[in-house]
Amino acid sequence: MPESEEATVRLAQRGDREAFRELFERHRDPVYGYVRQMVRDEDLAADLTQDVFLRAYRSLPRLKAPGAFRGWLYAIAANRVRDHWRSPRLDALSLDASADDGSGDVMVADPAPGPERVAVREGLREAVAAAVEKLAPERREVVVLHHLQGMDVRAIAGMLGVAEGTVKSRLGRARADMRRHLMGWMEE
Amino acid sequence: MPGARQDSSPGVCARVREWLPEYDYGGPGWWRRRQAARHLAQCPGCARELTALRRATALVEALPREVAPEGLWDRLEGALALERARPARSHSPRRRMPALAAAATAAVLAAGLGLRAAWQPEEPAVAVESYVQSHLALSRSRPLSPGAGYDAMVLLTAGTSAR
Ligand SMILES: [Zn+2]
Repeated sequence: MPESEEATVRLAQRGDREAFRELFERHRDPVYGYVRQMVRDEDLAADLTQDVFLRAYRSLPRLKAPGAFRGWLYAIAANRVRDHWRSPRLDALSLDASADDGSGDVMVADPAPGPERVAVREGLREAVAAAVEKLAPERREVVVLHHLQGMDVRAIAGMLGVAEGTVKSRLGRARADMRRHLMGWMEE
Repeated sequence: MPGARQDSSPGVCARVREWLPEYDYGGPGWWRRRQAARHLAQCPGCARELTALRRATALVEALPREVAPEGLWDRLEGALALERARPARSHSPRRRMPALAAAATAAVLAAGLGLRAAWQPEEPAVAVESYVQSHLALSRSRPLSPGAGYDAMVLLTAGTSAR
């Protein structure tokens, strides 16, 4: 976390709305990205992300280590996702997160790629996204946190309240799953 | 050399391959890691397998980063305004369940499932000190540039596939 963020967190803890907004702007995409990978449905991910920041806002005055804001925020996000998994019907959703919701679609198009590369890349992207979705939730969670959000094993363990060995083991199993799912793409 | 012959045997390969998925993450214990490292230095097959495992997660890392939908702040601000208007704690207006009931339900479920306190809503039982310590590592996370490196990854994948 940049040094200035700690100062921003302290300001937000004292009720500074602009400071909280700055934190929101800085973290909304990664938090949304994490939640989206975990629940797949876009609208649901937006709802849950909003809720994550709402919970963060409420609990922020009680955060004792402002320098640990990012990990703390992700812990809230992980809790929120777990809450949803436990009781999805309580989330008052307009959309049902069905098994096939088209979330294997290409998420963002790169500008001006060559035509033949587009096909390969989009197909591969879909395959990779689908492989992530196929992972068991506990494995997907650590893969997203480590490989997409850049958290190290220790931080993830602290955040999830599990042993570091558990995180390593889940990452390893996920990597083996991914390798199996993507075998066709890697070995022609 | 007897040692070398033993290291190349199919039994050793099978054992090392069980350890390979965790290898880059600091698993599976220092002794096995040492054995695996020695074996990898002399077994092209297992080295290729490790490369394939790395490639699989490199592809995940190359996925474009998600962008939150527009208007999320406005929604949040609305929820915050409601919150301030109502001193009693409650969830956002989109939720049907009061916060306390949700928390109680989650707590009961968490207890039933034997889950750790880290999963209680709103108050993550974070090991604050460990966060402070890991803070530097977190801040050095990879840049989240959308789609960055994906072309290279495609070429890498298409052009250097294991034979
Ligand atoms: Zn071998």
